Amino acid sequence: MTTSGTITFDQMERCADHTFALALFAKHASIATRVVMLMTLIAWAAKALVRTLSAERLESLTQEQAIELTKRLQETHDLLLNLCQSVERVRLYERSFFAGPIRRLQESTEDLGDVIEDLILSENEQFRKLMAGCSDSLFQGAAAGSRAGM
Amino acid sequence: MPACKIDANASPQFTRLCNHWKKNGYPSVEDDLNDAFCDIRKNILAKHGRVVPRFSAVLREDLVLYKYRQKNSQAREGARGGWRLYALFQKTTSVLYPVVVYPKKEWDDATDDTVKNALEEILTILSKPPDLF
Repeated sequence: MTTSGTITFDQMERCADHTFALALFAKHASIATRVVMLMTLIAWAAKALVRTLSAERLESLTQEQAIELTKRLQETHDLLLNLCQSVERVRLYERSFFAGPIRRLQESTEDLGDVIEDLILSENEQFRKLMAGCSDSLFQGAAAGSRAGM
Repeated sequence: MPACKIDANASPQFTRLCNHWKKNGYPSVEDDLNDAFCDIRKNILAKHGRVVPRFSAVLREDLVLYKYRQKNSQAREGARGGWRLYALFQKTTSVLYPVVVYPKKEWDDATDDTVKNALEEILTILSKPPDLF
């Protein structure tokens, strides 16, 4: 049972599924106009997906859930990326009517890419060591600096 | 939105990465980052700032890892990609310490390999002896 403010892993997956389905549909719509008509809807869905992927919610996932979610998000991101590239190729962004949805879609795609990157890096032992090392060097330096200033 | 102080000189890793990018095809890195810092000082969530989850186990209790995006001013107008910046925020002092910065190509995918390659490049740079001027 969940409260209205709580989003479960299942709900995150469902949201990812919706975005994936929309992006998949757009990919197979061979006529550029169809893709454009879907743009607003996809941009909205992608933004909603990114909103569900807050740090607090991702923090609560198990390692297995994080890995599974990352794979699903990568599939979605790949489709969104292809869509963004198609839009660029046909220069749709030059038409002011489409510029807003396209920009929002591009931003959400970048946001999603950043979330995926963070999830991958959070499971990467080298990056975790790097962050721990950065933390150590910062505060060893600060301690030395404050001693020098005494 | 919460403001913060930024100490961009404290992390040796960050200094080394900035120097590397500056000398290797990204002369605008300092200006770009200074632009970002101006906004982030006023609002810690500016420049697409977000908390990076799942790092609490490797960081001190008073630290939170943040990530930012900043435009690369050398890239063409409207281009995606740009700089990615990781910074450690010390909650007790409200100081943000940038620690890692790297350029992301326009429309880079988010596969495990792409992320791994970017990380390998960062680690290679950091493993070299620091430049002495």
